[in-house]
Amino acid sequence: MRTKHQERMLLEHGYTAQKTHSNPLILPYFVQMLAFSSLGTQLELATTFSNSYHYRKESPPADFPFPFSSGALVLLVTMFVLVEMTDTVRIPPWQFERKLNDAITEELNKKLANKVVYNVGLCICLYDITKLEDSYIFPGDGASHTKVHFRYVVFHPFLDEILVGEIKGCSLEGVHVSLGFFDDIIIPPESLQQPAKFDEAEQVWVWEYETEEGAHDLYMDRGEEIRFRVVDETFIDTSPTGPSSSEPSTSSATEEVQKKEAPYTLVGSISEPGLGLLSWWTNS
Amino acid sequence: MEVKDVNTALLNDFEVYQLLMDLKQQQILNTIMYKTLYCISKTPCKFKSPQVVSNFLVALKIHKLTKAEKLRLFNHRPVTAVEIQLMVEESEEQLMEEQIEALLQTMTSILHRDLAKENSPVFCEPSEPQQ
Repeated sequence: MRTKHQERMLLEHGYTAQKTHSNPLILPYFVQMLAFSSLGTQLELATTFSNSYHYRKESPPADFPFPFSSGALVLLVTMFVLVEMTDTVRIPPWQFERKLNDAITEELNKKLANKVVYNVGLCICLYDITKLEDSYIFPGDGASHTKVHFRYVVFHPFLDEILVGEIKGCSLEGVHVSLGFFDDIIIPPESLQQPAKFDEAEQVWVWEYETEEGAHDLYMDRGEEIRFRVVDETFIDTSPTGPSSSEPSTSSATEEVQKKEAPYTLVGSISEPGLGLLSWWTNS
Repeated sequence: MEVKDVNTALLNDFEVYQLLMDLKQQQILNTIMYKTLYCISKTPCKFKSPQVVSNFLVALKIHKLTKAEKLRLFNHRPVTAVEIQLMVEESEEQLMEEQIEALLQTMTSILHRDLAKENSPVFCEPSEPQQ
């Protein structure tokens, strides 16, 4: 909803991705000059510059991509939330010599870190323990069982969140992006900056950026940093299911395919001005 | 295991960074924590301090932004208007151009001060005694 609305606004105001300029080719000299001035003057300079270089008048001067200490701004922004959980933690007898809190912290990190909890997100690490209930020892087991209330740091960007990651590769399905600790991010072809095409020879997506001098091919190479908006998320329950007797043997193939699926996938979009490779919008 | 509240609080990068650094000092990092730490230590968040966070929030009060927007601004440190348009919902309606400019000024004065010192020789204050 938001995107559509924004697109309409952009069209009405007369600046779209094509008009807000991103092409690094033209800028280097001025950009260096700008970097030396304070931000206030940068804006003024940017205005004059944009007029003198046949930027379209209606495009807002502030859209001029001036860099602030270009190259220094490596943004890999991620989104974390705190999630409140309870769990019963089993502490084996050989851990009794340690402090209960330490033992529980270790157990919780062992159990949850680097795991995706369904509809919650990717667990990173324990934040704190808010409450410990009484510990019990059950017959036949020497371990103690403690109900723990705790808070966990979880990677779960909300929708519309803007993240910066690294391109892991391109395929016909779109651009695959990695955040380093989280790899299951895909930007489908229809969400790329338009017009986009897939270069079969180099296996890379290209934004055919149009200027008045002709089209520039902006390649989305592997390893480049890319800023994208999170537009959708999918959780897949990958927990093992029991054998289904009713289904015929042909289902085994599909089950195997499902096994490989990522439990938590983010769908990104870069079809807005400001999104895409960082080098498109700053000049480096 | 039971999840009681999926969204108790939002954490900014700086908070996660501090938490992970603490764990690192106690030498209880596992792979995911290490990778996360590696990732966010590439962001400018390591130059921030609790003082910066509160200064930043006070300075943003006049702009009437939502919590998510403030968090986005804080994490990303936008330096161009086009970035702000991405991060503030309906920025065309909410913000006039002068406001965007003012916002950028605020960002620069509070969030970039330390970054500038770290990275760009242009902004370095001269005559620091060297040892």
